[in-house]
Amino acid sequence: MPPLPLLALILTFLLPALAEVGQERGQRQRQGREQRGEQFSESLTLRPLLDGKVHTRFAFEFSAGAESGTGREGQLADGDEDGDGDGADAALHTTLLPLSLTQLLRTYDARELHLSLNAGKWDALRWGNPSGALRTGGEMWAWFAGESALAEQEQGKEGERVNAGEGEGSPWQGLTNGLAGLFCASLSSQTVQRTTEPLHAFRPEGDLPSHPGYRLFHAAFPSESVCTENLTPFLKLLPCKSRAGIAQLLNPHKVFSADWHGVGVHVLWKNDTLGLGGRTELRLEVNAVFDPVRVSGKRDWSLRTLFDRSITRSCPAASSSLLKVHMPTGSASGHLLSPPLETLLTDGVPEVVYDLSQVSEDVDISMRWEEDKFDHSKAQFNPPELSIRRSLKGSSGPSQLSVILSNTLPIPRRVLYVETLPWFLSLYLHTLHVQVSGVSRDDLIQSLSYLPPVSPKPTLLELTLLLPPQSEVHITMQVEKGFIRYTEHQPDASRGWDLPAAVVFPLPPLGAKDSHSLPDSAEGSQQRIYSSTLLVDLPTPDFSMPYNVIIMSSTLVALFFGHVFNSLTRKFVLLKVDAVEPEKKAEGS
Amino acid sequence: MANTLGMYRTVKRLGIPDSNIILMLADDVACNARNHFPGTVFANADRKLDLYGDNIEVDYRGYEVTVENFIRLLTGRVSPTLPRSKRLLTDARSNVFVYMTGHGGAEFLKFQDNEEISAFDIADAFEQMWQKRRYNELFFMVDTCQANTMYTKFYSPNILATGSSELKENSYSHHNDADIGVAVIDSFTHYILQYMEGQNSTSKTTLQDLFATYDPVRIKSHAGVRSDLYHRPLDQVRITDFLGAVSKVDVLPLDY
Repeated sequence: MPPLPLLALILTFLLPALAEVGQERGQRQRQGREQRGEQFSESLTLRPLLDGKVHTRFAFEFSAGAESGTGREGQLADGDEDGDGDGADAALHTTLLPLSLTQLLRTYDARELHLSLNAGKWDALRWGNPSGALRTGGEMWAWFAGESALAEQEQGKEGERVNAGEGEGSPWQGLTNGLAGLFCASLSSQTVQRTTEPLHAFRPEGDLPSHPGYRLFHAAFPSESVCTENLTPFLKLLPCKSRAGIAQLLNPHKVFSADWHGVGVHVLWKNDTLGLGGRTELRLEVNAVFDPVRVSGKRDWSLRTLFDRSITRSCPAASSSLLKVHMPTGSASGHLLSPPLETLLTDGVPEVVYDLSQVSEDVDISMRWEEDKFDHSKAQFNPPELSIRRSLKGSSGPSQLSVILSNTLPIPRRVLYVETLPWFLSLYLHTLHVQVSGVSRDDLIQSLSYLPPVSPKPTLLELTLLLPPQSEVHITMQVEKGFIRYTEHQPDASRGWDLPAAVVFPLPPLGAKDSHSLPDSAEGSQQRIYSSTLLVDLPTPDFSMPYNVIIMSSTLVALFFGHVFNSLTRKFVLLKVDAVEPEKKAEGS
Repeated sequence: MANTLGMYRTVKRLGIPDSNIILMLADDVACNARNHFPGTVFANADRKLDLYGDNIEVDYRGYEVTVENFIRLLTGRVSPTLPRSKRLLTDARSNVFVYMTGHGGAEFLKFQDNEEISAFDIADAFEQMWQKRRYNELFFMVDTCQANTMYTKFYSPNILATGSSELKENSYSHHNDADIGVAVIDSFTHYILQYMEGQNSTSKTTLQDLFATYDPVRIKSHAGVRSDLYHRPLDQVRITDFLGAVSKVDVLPLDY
């Protein structure tokens, strides 16, 4: 990366009362309040991006330890399971963790949960690929403990339902409904059409407790929107709401005018190092990419300009409250800090960390660049190590799904490519071809798992591929768009259907293992790369047609019936009208 | 949108908590990329009053807003896993206020541009609610073209209904916002909200006072009221009986 033209960078720090944070951070965290083993910490990371935008990531982290002895391993809070014993109230009681969420997780026995609602298009070239979900629209997946899944299957057998894992009344459906209600999202309307059970993708990010038969359900909701109504319940889950700490900055009007924005909820289970018991970790996230250049033409930003708010007090419930600013890479030699705060190197990233646990006056942090105007043309970007582009070609008849995976590293990469398509798109697997610069390389496919669509459930295709060094791998396959029923169309049918993004998981390189074996565990699965969503046009019927047909056929039936009825019940006879008769009558009266 | 959000804001201001309001919005106009003012829906073109605000909770949105879901919500025939925020948790002592707006016609109202709810559907749903003891009194307000036809089919007791326009009469929007390029609010709702802005949760004004403000010249249509199913005289029914919540606080003796 070439050095930025004007390297002088001034960080203004308006609150001298804030203490510098260093290595003792961890200690303080441990010494912080621990109520029933619950902890809450918050952090805000600001990351100036190469194109002048600023990526802000709010993370609110809760953790609760399960006391050993009581409760099941991996259960969210301890206590008896039946909920009718003495410990029920105590077990349900939480000090910091949001009860509305923990109740849901307990009821449905979900051990790991990820929910994200995002809007915008993530630009991996300019913004990088930080870990965490960056899918456009909604996405949710959860790992359920085996017992409930098994019990559900047993119940299902009684009720003549073979695979009851995702039907009405199942834990997955219940959890989706519950979360949709909690976060004001419309997830539940299309759960069945969206749910898949991936075999290789979306491995647990935490440690699932040793337990047989976990089940994974995943659903993507590409047309889900995110707005103020999703942030409102989100803020209500925080111990200090939006009244103190970094959550004070979450101004919906600013966050939702950002180029990219989203909220996320992640629940993990982590084993203790000793192997006894463990902790449940809950992470609430808000991500937003702001564009200061759009407003002022410059890259300068401050908390006030980004959020139109400032932090006025600290959240007393937080054991640590940090504000981190990543220093732009490449400018490390030339930037100035004022007042001087030590730049720490965390995971190779130079960053400045402010402690916000003691705030006595308004905090506003700003970054100023010594330049009059940001010059977009001078910004240079390094292509990401791994990227995916996807398109759907052809308008009518069989279309072609074309995916380009590129690996810019000088070493081969193993990746897992996951495609989920709605049931009305059928993939023709025999047309699946892999090409590298025009040469057919079907040998790059190391494994393939495919679940054909059964209306209304979607297709699932999971491919393990070996990407050659510095190459672009083209994957093509034929897709046929089916006709769907008149009632299956969405209310805005002519807009088309959103296809969920394809996902690429970088996998660890194969060592001595058999090259056909599937990645069994999560090593490299943390990072995910999403393609953009696609819009597919389906043939839409004339929705008033049924009425016309009904009216037309009713008319015909009525005409036919009338004639037949008349001819059956009436007898047509010739009446001889006597011309004299009326006169006679007249005489008679 | 602004109609419903205006009502939402009013009842919330008059003391009804979000947990007792079920808001259904079929469109995501506030955060749609085409909205020039992200996260906001304004009541008027002067853009003084942001109806979306900082803490809105939308219970049904997008494709969930269907006739089926609406009827299920009213009658309580919902999936057992449906969260509380999407249920109408009322009993025989609850006063229910139902406000509907959209495009409509004689005895129907459109949902989502592809299906309709008819006046008969609503009347039957209300009757079912009455039989299931899901309301004490019900106040139905509708703002659409030929709105008064929507309440002609009601037959259940204790229902008070009002609509914006007569049969074969259109309801008109109040004014347009040239910057956004759409009509922002409808006349009937606009004048009701304007009147309601002067009220607070302790106001003693009655529904009779509200109905007396109906002015066909200003509203540009003949707003109607149907009270033959309703047993109380309208000049004794406070607006806050339906559109507000007053919490009663009793002082207890110290040794209680």
